[in-house]
Amino acid sequence: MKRPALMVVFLLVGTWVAVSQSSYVIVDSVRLPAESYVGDPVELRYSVRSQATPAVPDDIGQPRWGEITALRVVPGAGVFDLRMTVTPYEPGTLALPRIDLGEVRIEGLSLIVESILAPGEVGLRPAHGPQRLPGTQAALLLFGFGISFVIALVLYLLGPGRRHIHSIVSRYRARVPYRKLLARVQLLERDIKRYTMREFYIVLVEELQAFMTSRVEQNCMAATATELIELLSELEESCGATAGTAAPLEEVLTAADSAKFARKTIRRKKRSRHLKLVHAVAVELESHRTKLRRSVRGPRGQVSRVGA
Amino acid sequence: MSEQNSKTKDASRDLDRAIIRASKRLDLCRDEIGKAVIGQREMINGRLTGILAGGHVLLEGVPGLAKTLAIRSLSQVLDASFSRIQFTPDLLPADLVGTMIYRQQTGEFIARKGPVFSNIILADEINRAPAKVQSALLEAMQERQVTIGETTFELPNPFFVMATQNPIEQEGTYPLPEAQLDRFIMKLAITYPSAGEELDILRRVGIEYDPKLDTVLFAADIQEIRGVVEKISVDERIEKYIVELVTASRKHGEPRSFHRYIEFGASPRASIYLYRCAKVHALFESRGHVLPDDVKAVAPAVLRHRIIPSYEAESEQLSSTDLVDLLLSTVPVP
Repeated sequence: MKRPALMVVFLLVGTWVAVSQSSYVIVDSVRLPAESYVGDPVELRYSVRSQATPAVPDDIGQPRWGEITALRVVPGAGVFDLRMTVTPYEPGTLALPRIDLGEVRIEGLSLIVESILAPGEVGLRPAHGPQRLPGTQAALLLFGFGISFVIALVLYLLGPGRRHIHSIVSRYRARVPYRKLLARVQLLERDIKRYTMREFYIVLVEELQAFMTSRVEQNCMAATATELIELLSELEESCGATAGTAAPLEEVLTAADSAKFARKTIRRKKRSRHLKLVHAVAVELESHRTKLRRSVRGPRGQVSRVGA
Repeated sequence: MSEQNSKTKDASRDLDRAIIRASKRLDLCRDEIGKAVIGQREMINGRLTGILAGGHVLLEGVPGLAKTLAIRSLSQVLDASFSRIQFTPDLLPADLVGTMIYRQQTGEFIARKGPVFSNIILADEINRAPAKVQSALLEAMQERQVTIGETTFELPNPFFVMATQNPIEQEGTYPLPEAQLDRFIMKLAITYPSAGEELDILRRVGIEYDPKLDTVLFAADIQEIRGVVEKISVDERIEKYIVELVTASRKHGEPRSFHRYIEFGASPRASIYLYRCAKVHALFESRGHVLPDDVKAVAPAVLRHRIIPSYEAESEQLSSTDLVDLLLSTVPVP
């Protein structure tokens, strides 16, 4: 009768000891970061409900697969937080060692550790270059294309393009005096009432001289009315390009001289006609521009001079 | 207002009539001279310009170009006294202007006037006489009076000197200094006649030929024509053009490309003479106003002896006439 009673007593004492030693419940657990890789430190936080008072051990047992670098207990009412930092050096599901907190021993905890190595791969992959930002390749392609375009453009501009562009620019510039003359003729026509007679002819003749200077490559700004007419007559004879321009221009320039230097009155109707004549002469000369340049000769027109 | 307008119109009409009258007389004069001198129209016009503008003319040309004949003919068609003075190295100022001579009968000194006391003087080969004789003549030209002893005598009016010099045979000559050259209103460069003109000369002068020239222009006519010249209007823009031409010849003005060819530019006297001669040229063209053409026409003759070419110009064989051409082709006309 005594032996079975003793056995029951031992059983009860053993159960009480067992229950008193493991009386905790893990109510929450957090892993930071959620995914951990070999070599990365991981913080594990467990909320433990227990009536026991936990005590941080002096010596933390180290696992075989890595190391526990820190262990901390944050006490609370009925629940305390266990926080530890673990650095695993192996992949897989790793069992944490039993943690003895005095009245309570935490065990059966584990940690899943990933590996960047592909399955079956042994060792680490060699280090590769910095990662490119999205669109880097397109940008590089675009840049390369741009550089090539600039190089090609520079080569073109230094080579055949130079002549081509020069000819375009000179063609544009060559027509500037012509356009300017026509614009001035239009302006004079529009504002014929605003100009005094003298001003009208001064402006008209100056524009005509500037235009002729550009067309015959002589300084017609220093040419008198007679010289301009003689120059046109010479051109008529030499290339025939200005046929019919000397006579109308003579009428205009003679009237201009009378208005400018003798203050003679020239009616508005006649002035209007002179504008039309100048316009017609300009159009005629412009249509034979290249021919004119070839046929120009001598430094300036001839004027009969006393004692020349 | 309308009264003023009509007065202006009347004055303009009067001027036009006077210009026509003067032109006819000048044409008549040219025609008469043309009986003796073939061609050389520019030279004749130049001399007439000198007389009407109140200046004296220097003529440069090789021998045999009718320089003397033309001036003698001019003196015949003008009612004017004429003297020819051949300048030689031994000529003295007294030979030119006159001297005081002692009259034994009265026992007093009297002034004997020299050949300079004529309306028209031909100073032939002026560069052959020494500087003191040249100075005596040039002083008379400038002052229009001569002092003999202690008495000053006015020179006759019109008083016109035409000096000649030969561009070749420079040995033993006394070239006129620039200051004295400046006193001539014009320097005419006489060129050879054209082939046609020379043929005409041959036909006319091949036999003894001494045409009788009529006097067609009297002292009063010259005064009247000078009065007409004075009335010819010169626009402000033309005046500015004249000044611009003259100042452009000077280095200290606006820098121009041809300045390296010019040692010395024209003096303000050039502006005055250019102005006067342009007016006379306008009259020749029967115009009552001056045009840039008139200025350009007389500019070479008025400016060529006033612009001194630089060493650079000489090395490039540019004459002063070429420089005047450069000037005229550069300065913008108004």
